[in-house]
Amino acid sequence: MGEVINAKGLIREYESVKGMIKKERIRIEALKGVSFEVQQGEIFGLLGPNGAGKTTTIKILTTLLAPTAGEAEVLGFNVFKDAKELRKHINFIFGGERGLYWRLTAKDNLNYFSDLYGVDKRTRAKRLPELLEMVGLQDRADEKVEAYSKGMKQRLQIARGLINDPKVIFLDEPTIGLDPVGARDLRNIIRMLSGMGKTILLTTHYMYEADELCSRIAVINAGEILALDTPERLKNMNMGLSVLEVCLKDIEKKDIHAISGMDGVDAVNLTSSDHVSVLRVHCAEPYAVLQKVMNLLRKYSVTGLNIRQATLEDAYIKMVGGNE
Amino acid sequence: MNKLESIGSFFRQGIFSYKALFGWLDPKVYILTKIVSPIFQLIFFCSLARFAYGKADVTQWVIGNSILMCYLNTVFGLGGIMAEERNFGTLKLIIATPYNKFVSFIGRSLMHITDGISTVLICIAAGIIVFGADFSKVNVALFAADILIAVFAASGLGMLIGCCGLVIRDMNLLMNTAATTLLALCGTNFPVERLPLFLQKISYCLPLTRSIQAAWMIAEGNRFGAVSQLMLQEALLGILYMLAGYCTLAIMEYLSRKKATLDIF
Ligand SMILES: Nc1ncnc2c1ncn2[C@@H]1O[C@H](COP(=O)(O)OP(=O)(O)OP(=O)(O)O)[C@@H](O)[C@H]1O
Ligand SMILES: [Mg+2]
Repeated sequence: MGEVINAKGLIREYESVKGMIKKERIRIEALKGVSFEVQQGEIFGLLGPNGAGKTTTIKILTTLLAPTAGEAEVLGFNVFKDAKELRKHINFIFGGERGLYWRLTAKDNLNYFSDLYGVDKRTRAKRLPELLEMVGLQDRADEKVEAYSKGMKQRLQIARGLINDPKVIFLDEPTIGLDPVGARDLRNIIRMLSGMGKTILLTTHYMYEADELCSRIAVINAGEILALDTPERLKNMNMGLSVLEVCLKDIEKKDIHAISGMDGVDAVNLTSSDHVSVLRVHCAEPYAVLQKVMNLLRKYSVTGLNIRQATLEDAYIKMVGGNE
Repeated sequence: MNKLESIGSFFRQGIFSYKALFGWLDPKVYILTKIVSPIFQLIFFCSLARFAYGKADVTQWVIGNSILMCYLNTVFGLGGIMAEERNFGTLKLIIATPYNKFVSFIGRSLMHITDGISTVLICIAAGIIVFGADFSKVNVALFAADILIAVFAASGLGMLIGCCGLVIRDMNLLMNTAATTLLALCGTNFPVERLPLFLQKISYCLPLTRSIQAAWMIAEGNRFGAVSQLMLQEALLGILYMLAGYCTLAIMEYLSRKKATLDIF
């Protein structure tokens, strides 16, 4: 079996009401025609800034939301029309602490969802302890969830999401709120699941995570897919392999333009926080442009200089734009 | 899953969800909301009746108000299920399971029916102790059956309200309206025949009206023959409400996916 997820021209509009007295309806087009395919066993990443439409895409694919237009199939089932049949074979995990019954113990949470997924007694007797151990909660499984830390709740969510042994798993920011070790454990779980032939679609805001896990990544912004490729090819797309990073206090627009016009420079972007701005110059041969760039920047106080290989994050920031 | 296991899981998921969602399972909260407050409401209306009608025997009001008290479970318990699920962020998880949502709802209603009956019985006991309500002529089995049907029919209403919770956010509004409508129109404290005609019509579309009348007759010593029609009609009404709930749930599930209401606040 090849293709597991197939989204064709997904469009989703939301309508919301603004104002109390003079009510004004506003329509937001959260997805503007999103198409992609995911193969079996693949770990497919959706990257994009806040409000890009990632969660909306996942909700449509998990049968929770109807697309305004366009179609999607998961495992050959139409996500809207065949929702009931499809639901048996998929599951999803939304990051965060909600989505659990705080007054029940971890075990009872899992038992409850086993009932709702029709998991039989024998399978359950084997699967529950396995899942609890996998997420490292076996010792505290009889405690009520309200006494859990954020990360423990998050890990219980993961166990819940695997309760029906789904063929396709959707993960919306699964490592949010996990400590570094917990996040690494989860990445190992994800890899293990993928190794078992399960298809995984995940969203994340951590670039290295996507780089490390995903076989392919779709970068989505404002409801449109900007690029879809392997992490390697995304990194190399339209740009050289290196980045010249300059930390400085401030820089005038005209100088940025001057640098981007230089020979050998592929792209320039600037990210600014309160105290420091980072200018990133993408180029194939950093030493060839270094002299020229530094000459131009002589009038500013440069506090740091770094030459490194381009990462996925550079590609991402270049695509969706920094906060220039 | 085999048949036996499915039945087991049907009851189990009802119990789990009941335990998971209702804060009043905490003993303190339970005693206050399900025992103390209903008893005081009972005392209020019975004292009022004694004062207004100048009667020493308030058995009628004890019965009516006790049965009415099942609205705590049927209207607020069942009616609030979807809203509660949404607060926990579990509504979308439930919807995304292949389990039949309506069957699950019925499983949940069983716990509330049981719990609702216990409240009715507690109130009747309080009525006997505080007001010396007279149950000497009552046929216990028939009376018990009447209470069961009453709570069942009221659950039908609760489920119908609850299903709307998939799309509607402010469920308290709906639940409070239903509760006060029951209080005003079921004939517990104001006789139905003294209401304006169109309100009488509404009274007979509501659960509890008939079973309260039947309960009064049973307390006066009437046998099944005399109350069978009322009780059967009440049971039928309960079934009609459940069917309406079933259809509403299907429509609401469709709308919730169209309108994206599964996790709004
Ligand atoms: N229920 C809703 N009603 C109205 N607008 C909505 C609703 N849900 C999402 N939106 C809008 O749709 C757009 C896409 O939202 P979505 O949640 O899919 O973004 P996202 O990519 O998951 O973002 P984030 O990284 O912040 O989670 C946003 O502009 C958001 O405001
Ligand atoms: Mg999101």
